[in-house]
Amino acid sequence: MDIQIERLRHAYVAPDLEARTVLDIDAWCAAAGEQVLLRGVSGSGKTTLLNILAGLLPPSVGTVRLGEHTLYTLRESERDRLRATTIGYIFQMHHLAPMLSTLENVEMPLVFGRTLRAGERRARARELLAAVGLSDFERHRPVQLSTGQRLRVAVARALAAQPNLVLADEPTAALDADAGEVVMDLLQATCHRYHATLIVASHDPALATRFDRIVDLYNGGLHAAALPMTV
Amino acid sequence: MYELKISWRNLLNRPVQTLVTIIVIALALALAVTVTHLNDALQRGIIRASDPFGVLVVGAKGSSQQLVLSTLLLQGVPVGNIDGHIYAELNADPRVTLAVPIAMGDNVGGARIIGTDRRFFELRATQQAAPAFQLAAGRLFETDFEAVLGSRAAATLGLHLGERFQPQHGVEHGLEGDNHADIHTVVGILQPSSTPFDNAAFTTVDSVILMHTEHAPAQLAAAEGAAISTESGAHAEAAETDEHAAEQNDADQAHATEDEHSASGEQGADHDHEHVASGRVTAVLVQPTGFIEANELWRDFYTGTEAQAVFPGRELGSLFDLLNQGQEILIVVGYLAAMMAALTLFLAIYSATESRQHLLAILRGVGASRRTVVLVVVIETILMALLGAVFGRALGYGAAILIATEIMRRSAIPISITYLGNLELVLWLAPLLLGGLAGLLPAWQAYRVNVIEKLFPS
Repeated sequence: MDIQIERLRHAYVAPDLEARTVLDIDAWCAAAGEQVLLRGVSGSGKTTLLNILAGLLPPSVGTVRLGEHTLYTLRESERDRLRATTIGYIFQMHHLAPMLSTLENVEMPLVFGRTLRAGERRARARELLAAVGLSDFERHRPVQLSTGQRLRVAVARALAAQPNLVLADEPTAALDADAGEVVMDLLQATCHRYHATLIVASHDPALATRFDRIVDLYNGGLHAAALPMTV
Repeated sequence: MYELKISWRNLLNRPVQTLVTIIVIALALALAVTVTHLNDALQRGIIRASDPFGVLVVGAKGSSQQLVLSTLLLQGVPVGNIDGHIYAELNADPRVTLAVPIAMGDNVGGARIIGTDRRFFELRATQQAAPAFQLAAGRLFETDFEAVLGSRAAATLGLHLGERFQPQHGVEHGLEGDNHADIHTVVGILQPSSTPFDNAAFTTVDSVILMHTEHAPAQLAAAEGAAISTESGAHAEAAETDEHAAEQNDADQAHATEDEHSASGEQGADHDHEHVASGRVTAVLVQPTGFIEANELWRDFYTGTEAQAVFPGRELGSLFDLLNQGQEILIVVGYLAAMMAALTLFLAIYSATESRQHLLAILRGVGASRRTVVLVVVIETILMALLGAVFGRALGYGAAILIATEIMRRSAIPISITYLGNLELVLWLAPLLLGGLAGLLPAWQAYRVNVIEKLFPS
């Protein structure tokens, strides 16, 4: 799914009641299947941009197109459905439902998307749990998992609907290098397989070599960055 | 249904809060179920228990309701006694098809001893119905100091045909050793009648009268076969009456008294009439020949000074009015309890708002619609209300059955708790409606949940 952003501006009212512009992007796009690393310091607006792309946060002004959809001209319920069927979002804090099992958490977007029957949903969720190495944990609750395991569940959940766009907010922040590698391998391989666009927001320098495109977010704007030299 | 699963897990996630809320709802509903069913069962029990006893009850002046309660339901102490000639006149009255004397005053192991005649056993709820009191074993009494036991009395006392018992003073279980000397022999045991008379012992009116003449059995034996004086001038009431009254205090004012008697071989209703006519009885059950005659008889007693005649139906109607008033008060209490339950439910749902809103934001973040998250809250509320309703009904029926059993044990009035179909809809809908109301605000909050604020707190 390709992404097009036009004249996007987003401001919020700070506690001192002054309006702060956090995003100011004239134009930006990503092709379908492209994998983009979005870098920026804390507070630069990476998460805000991901939320806007996920259909969760209407921008102050501007247009966001995801494939054939002009995101914020859709009704809210249509954006909800898009999020369940077409967009996979890996939140920085994972945000798993605490009272549901690992398997049920992974199934969640499939339930809301209503595209599969119960048996198929369950099979898909099991397959993804196996892919992230958590087959033995499908009955566990999130509280019974380590931080790394929770992230892997969140990854599986984001990939469950085989989305066309995957958004990941600091997916490796809570992981050691090896675990981060495993998660990124899975994420990127899956997106390649389904020709899904992947946007990863991170300030982890180790990730730079994994992407074919890097953009830096500063002063509210997106700026293309040079790719690191690989040996 | 995924929303149901989420709601259910949410409830399980807060076990104490959920349980307390369900208990409060259950208690409020149990109160309504218990009061309504008990009132209904009690009224049906009283009607059923009083069914066989004719149209009029004639007894001493005083509380008409007490007369009916003490005579037909064996509750409380009798109002007093009436002269036997009233019974004799009623018996001879052409407007009366049946007059049955009742003499009370003593008990055996808590079972009241009822002095009556054989026509008591012809009483029936309707003309077509079988007699209400039928023998299960043995025969009816033929001579004095023979007794026929109600089914429950026989079972409770463990008495069998041919066995003997010694009555105690007073209408209720008294002190050990506070016994009459007169020995009664069990000659018959009745089938269950579903009336308080199941816990009674029936004997002749004379037996009751004789018990209060302080005859020793030996004297009675010696006198057996001798002619008896039934002339009014031969009465020797005073001494025994006073002595016994002192002994039993007010409660025993109902003692059938006190002719000078000796046991005899007299048998049959005609002889009974003569004896009763010369003594005193507690009440007379009267079956008039018709409606007009019933009213005439009632008027005669109303204008007279010796006794009163009461229509049991009318008195029980007044009693039911009282019961209904009590029920109305309890229903108001029930409303208050229901409001408290609704508030508790609201608090339970509302206080979980913060943790729930985070969950709802997660659901929205993954693609759930506003409708879904509202449903989660509504279902959560309704689940609690429904569980409260189910447990409340179980608790209410259980309490009603326990209380009914205890009332039956104490009063022998047959009280059976039945399923009140016409109330079902209300009893299910009321908690659901209250649950729905209590969940309105939390549901609105769920609808408005700010996903960004909850998932990405700054």
